[in-house]
Amino acid sequence: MGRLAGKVAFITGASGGIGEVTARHFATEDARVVLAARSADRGEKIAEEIRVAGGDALFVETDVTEPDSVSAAFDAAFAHYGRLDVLFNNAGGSTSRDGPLTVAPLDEFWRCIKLDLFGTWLCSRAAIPLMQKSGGGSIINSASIVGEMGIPNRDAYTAAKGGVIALTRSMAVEFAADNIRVNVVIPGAVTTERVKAFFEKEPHLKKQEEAYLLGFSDPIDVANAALFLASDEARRTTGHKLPVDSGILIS
Amino acid sequence: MKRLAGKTAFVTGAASGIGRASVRLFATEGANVVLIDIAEEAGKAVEAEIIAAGGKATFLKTDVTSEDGMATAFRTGLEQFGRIDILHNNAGGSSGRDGSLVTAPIEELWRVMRLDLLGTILACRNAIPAMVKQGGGSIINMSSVVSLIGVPDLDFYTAAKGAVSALTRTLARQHAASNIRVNAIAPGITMTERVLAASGGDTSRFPLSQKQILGPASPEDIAAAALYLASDEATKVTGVVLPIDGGASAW
Repeated sequence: MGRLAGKVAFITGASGGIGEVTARHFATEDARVVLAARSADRGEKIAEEIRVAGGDALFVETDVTEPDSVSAAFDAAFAHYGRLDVLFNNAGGSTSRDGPLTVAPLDEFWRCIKLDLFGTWLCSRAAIPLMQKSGGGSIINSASIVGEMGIPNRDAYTAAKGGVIALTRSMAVEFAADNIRVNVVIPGAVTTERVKAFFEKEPHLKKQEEAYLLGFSDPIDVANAALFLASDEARRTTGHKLPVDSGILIS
Repeated sequence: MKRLAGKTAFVTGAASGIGRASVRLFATEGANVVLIDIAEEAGKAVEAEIIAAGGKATFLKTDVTSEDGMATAFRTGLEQFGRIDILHNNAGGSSGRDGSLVTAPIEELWRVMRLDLLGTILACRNAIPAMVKQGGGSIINMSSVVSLIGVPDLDFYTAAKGAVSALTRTLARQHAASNIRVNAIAPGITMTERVLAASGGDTSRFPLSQKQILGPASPEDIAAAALYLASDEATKVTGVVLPIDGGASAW
């Protein structure tokens, strides 16, 4: 029996990177997985691959920054599976348009706040009533080491991720009585395709890897942390941060 | 595939409480387990139980505060299993003799410093050279929620556990190059035999209990976190103090 047997897990940003790896991983642990993403082609393909491998998966086209899109996605998921146990708020990410707040374009600030912070808020808002109906649940938010230590050139992203960490705590306290746990994973640099391309474009950043005591993380490392927090193994853990950062925060 | 297949785990304080839950879980997940405890009868009973269930276990009667005793235990365990992949420094604990530092007996300070801090140091001192030689390992220290928030009337225990958290970070930093990960768990109220006896099964009079919004943990909850940190799932997690405190330190 898998570690998520009987559970339905909703994963945002599931068409690539950490979200895709997590969706596949949760499925192998016997969760029924809902893949939410904007990219229908990729999302459908991954869901189909999970089904072919013997898992149970549903793709729902979702823009986590649009209230109507989010409520439609959660409605569809709940109609299909009849319960909701896990939400992994994974959609998000920084871009090279971010930078010092004196020079970065204004719309990059709102892009980060909308995608990383508002998206997390909105999906949680849709998920929590469904988790209440299901007798409880586990929400795993995604932040970043920028929310815990000063890293230059990411001011908008830092503000958004700091907000996600604070929101994790308030949600944990608010919904503990409903047996809903809320925790946050704090990845350092993770070698998704997007990040690999970024480092290829800006090779001077490669020296950052030296700061990571155990090297850059792979998406599966974050997926494993999310799995622990999603499962009943973490049933007494709420409001907490789980760094998957190769030791950079303590260095 | 079991989560600790092929690994050998040394667990201190393994005869009861969280340590016993950990060795049971680690053995179920395929690890060979070395049980270190001062309580011979209880330790042998756990050893026998694991062997009867088809696991590999050896009990070594040891006082974790004895330099010679710990050197002998680690030498014996290493001779028997040939390696040490996991060290779970679980031995320790507070007592009713602790209190305000103004009034608590100073012997209690030295008792917890010896048991919680020196015991951890002696185990690491014996384990790290062997882990370096074999190419890596995972150390899980036992800290406490008292190292994260102020909990009254446990001043000496707090001092010892604060030191364990600090030591966790510096050891993580120092030994990452040898692929040794060092993390700690910070439990809140956990229903071990000792806590059951001290509370008569009702922990509501403990100052921490109102903060523990998901209620007290079981020894198995702490063991599940130790398993995650011990396994290769946490391969990029180091220097982390992971609270399993029912949300107590989140607010």
